[in-house]
Amino acid sequence: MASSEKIIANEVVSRCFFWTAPGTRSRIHFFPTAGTAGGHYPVACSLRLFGKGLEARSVELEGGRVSQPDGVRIEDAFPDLPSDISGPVGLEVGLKVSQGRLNLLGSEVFIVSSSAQMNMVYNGAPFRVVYRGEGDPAVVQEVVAKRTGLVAVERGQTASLIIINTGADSVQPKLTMFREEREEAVQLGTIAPSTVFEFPLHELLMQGAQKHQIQSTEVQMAPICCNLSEDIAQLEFYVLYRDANSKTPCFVNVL
Amino acid sequence: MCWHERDFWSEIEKLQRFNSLQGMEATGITSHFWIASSECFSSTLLVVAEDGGDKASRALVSCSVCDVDGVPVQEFQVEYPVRDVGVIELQPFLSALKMRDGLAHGHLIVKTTAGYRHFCRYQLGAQSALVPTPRLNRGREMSFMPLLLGSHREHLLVLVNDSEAESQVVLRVMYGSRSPEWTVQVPPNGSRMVSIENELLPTFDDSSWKTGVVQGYLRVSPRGSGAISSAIIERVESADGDDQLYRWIGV
Repeated sequence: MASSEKIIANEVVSRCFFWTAPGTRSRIHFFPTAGTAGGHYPVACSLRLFGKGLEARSVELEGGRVSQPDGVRIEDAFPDLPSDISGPVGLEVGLKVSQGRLNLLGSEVFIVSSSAQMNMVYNGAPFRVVYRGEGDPAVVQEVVAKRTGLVAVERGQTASLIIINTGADSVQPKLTMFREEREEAVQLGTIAPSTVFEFPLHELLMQGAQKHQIQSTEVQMAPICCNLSEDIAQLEFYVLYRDANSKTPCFVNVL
Repeated sequence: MCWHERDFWSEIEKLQRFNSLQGMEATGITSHFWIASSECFSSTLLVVAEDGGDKASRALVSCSVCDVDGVPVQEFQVEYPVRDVGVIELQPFLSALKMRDGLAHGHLIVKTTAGYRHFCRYQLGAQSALVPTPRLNRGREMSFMPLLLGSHREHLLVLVNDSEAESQVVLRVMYGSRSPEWTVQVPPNGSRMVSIENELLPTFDDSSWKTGVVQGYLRVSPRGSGAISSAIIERVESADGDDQLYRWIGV
C-alpha cells in the first residue's frame, strides 16, 4: 500500500458467529466509535445472518449513534430464524456513517450466548474496511494476509477452528500447526460461500503438541497459522473451546 | 527454558538507539497486561512465534513488572527455544506487588522482537481465560463492555495505564435511561481495579439495577496523553451463594 493512500473507513464490517442449540439464546452488542472524533453521528447498523442450510437474511437496525453502545437479541432481530437449528451461525455486523472523514475501525462487538448449561461472552473479530473494488486491494490484503494465534486446551476440553466465509466464492484455506520438531499443514476443505465451518483440532493437537503444567492444570498448546494462497479478505477465524464431556462451548478466541 | 538474572534492558536500549541511529524503525513489539497475585487470580505469560520460528534459534522475552502506582518492582528476561510456546509463570516475580483495591495487582510490560504474539492466561477461580495483547485507547478513544447488572453479580473493572503520563479515565455505566459517570485517576504505568457494583453504583442515587438482571454497558474513555487498556472480571454467585463463576470480558 502506498503510504500516501488513505483508507476510507466510514463503512466497516466484523464477521462473527453465535451459537445455536435448543434452549440457547444469543445477543449481540456493538459499539460504533470513531476514534477521538466527538459527536453522536447517526450510524447505519446492519446484521446479515447466514449459515449452512440457512437462507441468508439481513436486517437494518435503527437509532445507532457513534459512541453509543447498543445491542439486540438475535431472536428479536431475526424472528423468523428456525428454532431447530444447532451449531455455529454466521453473523456479519456492518456499521456505516455518511461522514467520509470518520474512521469506524476502532468499533467493537461482543456476542453473548447463554443457556442453562453455558454462558459465553466473547469479542468479535476486529472491524475491517469494506472493500468495494475501488483503489488498491492491498489496502485490504495487508490487514488480512494471514491469521496467527495460539490454541491452549486444558484437560477436559476440546478445541475446534471456526471459519467464516462471507465471500461470494468457495475457498480452501490452509491451517499450519507448529510443533517442537515439525510443522503440520492441513487443508481445511472447501468452505462454501456464506457458511460457517467447524474444523476439530483435537487430533492435530494429540499428534505432538506440547503439554505444559500451568498452575496445576495440564494445558496442551500449539501456535497455529491460517492462510490462503490468495485473498482471504472474506474470511475470519476463531478458536472455540468446549467441555469434552458435555460438548458445551466454554469460550472463544478470535485469531 | 533458562532464566537469565542479568539485566538486559540497557543492552536492548543500546540496540534500539543503534537501530535508531541507523535510520531503522524499532523492530520490537510491546504488550501491556494487567496481572494479579492472589489465591483467586493468577497470571501466566505465553509467547509464540507467528511463523513457528527456526528450530535452532531461541527467543528472548523481556519483562518488567510495575506495581499499582507504576513503580517498577521486578525486571527479568527469559529465553526459550523458538519452536516452543514460551510459558512464563509470573507468580515468582510478583511478590513485591502492593495490595490495593483488596488485591495485589499491577502491570506487566512484555517486549520481544517482531514476529511474536503475547498472551496472558488468567486463572480466575476455577475458570481460566486466554487473553491476547489488550487493545490500547489513547486520547479520547473509547472502549465498551456489556454488563449484566444484578444483585448476584459483580463486575471488577481493571485499568492499566500503559504510558508515562497520568491518565484520567472517564467511566460511564449505561443502563435503562440512566448513565452515571465517574472519573478514575491511573498513575503512569500503574493499574487500578474498581468494583462497579460496590464502589461506583452505590454513589449514584438509584438502585433499580439490583432488582432482577439489567442489561447495561460500561464505556471507558481516557483523557489526556495516557494510553489505557481495560477489561472486566465478572463474578457471578450461584443461587445458593456457595459457588462463584468468573469470566474475563475484554478486547
